[in-house]
Amino acid sequence: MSYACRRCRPYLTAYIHNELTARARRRIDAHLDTCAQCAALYVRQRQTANELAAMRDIGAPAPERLNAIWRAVQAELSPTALHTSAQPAMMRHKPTRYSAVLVALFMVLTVPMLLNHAAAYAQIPDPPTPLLQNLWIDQQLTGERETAAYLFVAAADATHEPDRDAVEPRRGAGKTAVQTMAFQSNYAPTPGATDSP
Amino acid sequence: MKTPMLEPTEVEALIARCLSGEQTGFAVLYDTFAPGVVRLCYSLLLNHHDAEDVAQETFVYAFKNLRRYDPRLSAFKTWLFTIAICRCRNMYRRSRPQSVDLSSLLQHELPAPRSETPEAAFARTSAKEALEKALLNLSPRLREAVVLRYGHGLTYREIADIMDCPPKTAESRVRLAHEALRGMLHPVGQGLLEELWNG
Repeated sequence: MSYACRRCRPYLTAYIHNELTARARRRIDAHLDTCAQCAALYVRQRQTANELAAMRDIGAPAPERLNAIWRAVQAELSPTALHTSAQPAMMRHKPTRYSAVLVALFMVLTVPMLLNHAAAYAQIPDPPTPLLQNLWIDQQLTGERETAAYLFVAAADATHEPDRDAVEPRRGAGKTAVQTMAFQSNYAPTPGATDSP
Repeated sequence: MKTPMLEPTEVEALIARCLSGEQTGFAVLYDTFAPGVVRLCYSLLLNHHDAEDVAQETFVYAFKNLRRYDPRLSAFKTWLFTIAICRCRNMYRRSRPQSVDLSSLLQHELPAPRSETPEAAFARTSAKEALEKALLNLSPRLREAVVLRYGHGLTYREIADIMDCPPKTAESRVRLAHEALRGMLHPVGQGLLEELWNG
């Protein structure tokens, strides 16, 4: 293949379709007049181009098919379709079923949490308060010092942690009450005896 | 369906009507461009069902994204064809085995003209079937180029815009496809003689 043939053949298709500039077209014309091989190739290529014109008939749709496609396009572009397409696909198909599943899932997750929270609140123990100490405070308030001092000692023995702030101001009164109580317990009065010698 | 040819200014006016909310604009646009889009999809996929699906997807996408179309960059037909070819490429990638489209065997979409003789009608149908088989043997890129060139009469510049390649590449793809089809459509002996002749 000569240099002129190599410059001519790539442009044969464009030459057939009149897409070359006037100068390029004159150059191809001149070469086809002198080269029998390229001229034969041009004839066959033009024949192929005519056959390829049948490509315009390939796949031409029937009107009813075009109408069916248009209906499908309209259905996808309708406002309701646009509205529902914003939702998840599963909610579009079976909304009731999936809503029930969502509610059940919510309850499964939240109910045990609420129950556990209530149980924990109920299990917090109250701080221990000796009953006797409470009674001693009541006695202090009502002025019965001796009974209160006895009860205070008993409460201190029970807890082993007497409250210093509560004990200090009443220390003297407590001693007297204890002495009185000891006297009363060790020396029980005999019948007919008196305190004076 | 007869396809009316619209001027670019008329297309732009139609698009403006669509964007302003007028529903009839969409119908006119569809009537104008749908036959070409369906034909393009069928020529590339060679299956009626897939072609109609892709055409539907193309119009839905185009109408939903009509605001993105810029008439300064390309013609509306070029924009539509670009969308359609992208969808067709997605269809190739699914790498489904080639299935025989029974509808194309059982019915002929184009009735023969009244003046056409039975022999001529048979020859035309045979040529069309032979062309479809030949297209099936081309690579997707060459098929796209030759279909756009011969099936829709687009220029190399438009083909280059649609296929996203330089115009020279589009031209060479058309030429390669043309040569491949020439080898497939013509008798084998003629091709061999040509090869021997070219040396």
